[in-house]
Amino acid sequence: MMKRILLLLCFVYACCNVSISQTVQPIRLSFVPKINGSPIALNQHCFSAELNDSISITKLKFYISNIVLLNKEKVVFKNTGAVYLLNAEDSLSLQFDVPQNLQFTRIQYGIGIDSVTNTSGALDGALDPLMGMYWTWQSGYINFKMEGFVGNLEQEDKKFEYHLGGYSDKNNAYQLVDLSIQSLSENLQFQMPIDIIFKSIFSEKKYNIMSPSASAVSLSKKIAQSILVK
Amino acid sequence: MSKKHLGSITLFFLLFTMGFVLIDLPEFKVPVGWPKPVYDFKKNNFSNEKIILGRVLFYDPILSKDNTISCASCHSPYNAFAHTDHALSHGIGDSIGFRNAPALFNLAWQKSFMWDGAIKELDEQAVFPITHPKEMGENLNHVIQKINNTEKYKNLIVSAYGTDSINKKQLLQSISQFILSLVSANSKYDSVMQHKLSFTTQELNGYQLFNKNCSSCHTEPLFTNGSFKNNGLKPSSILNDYGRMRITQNKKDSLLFKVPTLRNLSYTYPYMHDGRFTKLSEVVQHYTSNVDVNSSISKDLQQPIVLTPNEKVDLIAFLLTLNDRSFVFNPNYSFIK
Repeated sequence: MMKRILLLLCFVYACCNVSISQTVQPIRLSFVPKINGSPIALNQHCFSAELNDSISITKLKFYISNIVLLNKEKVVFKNTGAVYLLNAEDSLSLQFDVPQNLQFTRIQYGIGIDSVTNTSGALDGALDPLMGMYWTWQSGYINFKMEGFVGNLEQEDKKFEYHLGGYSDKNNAYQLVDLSIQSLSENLQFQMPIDIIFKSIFSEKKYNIMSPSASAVSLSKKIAQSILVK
Repeated sequence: MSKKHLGSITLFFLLFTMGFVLIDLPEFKVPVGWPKPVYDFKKNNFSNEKIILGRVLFYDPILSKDNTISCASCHSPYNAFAHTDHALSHGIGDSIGFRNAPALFNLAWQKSFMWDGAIKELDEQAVFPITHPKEMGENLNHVIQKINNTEKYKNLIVSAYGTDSINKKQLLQSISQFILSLVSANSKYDSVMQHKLSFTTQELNGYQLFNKNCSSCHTEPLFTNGSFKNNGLKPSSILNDYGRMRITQNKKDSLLFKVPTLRNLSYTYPYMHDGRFTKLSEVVQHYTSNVDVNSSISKDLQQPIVLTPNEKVDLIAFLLTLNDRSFVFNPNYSFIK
């Protein structure tokens, strides 16, 4: 009798396993930073009509977290607790699994690390300070890091460093992106018009923002608002 | 009272006072086989209270002009007290310095400080970042005033010095004490030397290559001999940094920088005085293929280092045995909440 029950349990377990592995599908989010409407490559100078100047990006790293999929107003999937660090040096894509045939019309995600995670003491995986995105106990994580040069020559006064972050009160730079998905796809592409986003800050010659501040918050907002889904 | 009782009371008393001695005067422990420290502990007796005061100060942005930058801003415990992924140091008002923030550990054995050896005494070192306009931009008198007027420091100062305020010397010596307490000597390499673990074949080969090609400057067990060398890096046209010559005004010292330790490399990237290399493979590539042989070049680099691709990988495998995770996550070194 016991043997039969055991066998039955094994069978049920195997079925469950099979059914789980059959009902998921990967969703890939890819971020495409663009200058002059074309995708950028690191360390390459390219001319931007928007800026009327050349620009070269030497470093681009940012966090994506708290991904939520919605069908109209209803949350159908939450990628709870997952934090992704995307680095243009490797790949600006991330992948996660959702139940197969999941219907969704909207996607939400955070750019950066929310205040709860910032103070949770998690220091592993994408949040490992080895990733170079952690400041200190009082300022937390850098959400978005972009470095490079404006102009054709790599000069000290044309070098920019934007380390945008901060999690407390008015300096909370964490941003939520909320976008409608027109056509359901496993590959969602998000375009980031870098020259449009940074135009005004470049024209102010404000080339260094590297601590929590009002400018970090407003620039972070601009990034979130400028992202377009393809 | 019986003799037995007297004996146990004496023993208890002895243990009790010993306990106090241990707490009040913690000895600076020199890892087995390491040389005698350079720092003179007689002038600044080690005490737990001073270390704690130094530790609180180390993490406190009160040391900077606008109360935004602490020592830990550029010397993060999780990065072996360096600044991972930041080529150059940062300061108040989002300013950028002109050199890479070095890792802080095993400084009790260091003869001079800063990449160019501008400072000879650890107790004077903290003055530089505190007062530098592109780092903390403060003046020492004002820092002292702020600390002495801050409630949380009252007890810490009383415990450390028995007074209700500190002076400049005490401020700097407390920071020194915390920094001196940062000893990293628990890597896989150290375990191998103590015969507790062994190298893999690859690491062993890397160790032999290291001894042949690198150890004259990166001498064990500190993995630096504390000297200044020109390692053949072409000066960056942006920074125009000629290193030690700024201090000595001697042309022979052009492009000489302090030999850094090779411990904890995984935590302390990017590398070199200007943080120009992000990966160890780039560093090895520099020494094998890109050394700029100029007039002040280190004599050990006049001939190129020759390594096969496999040997490069082995050398890096050995270097990674110098990572000390227990140091990086040592709770005695982190921010006190």
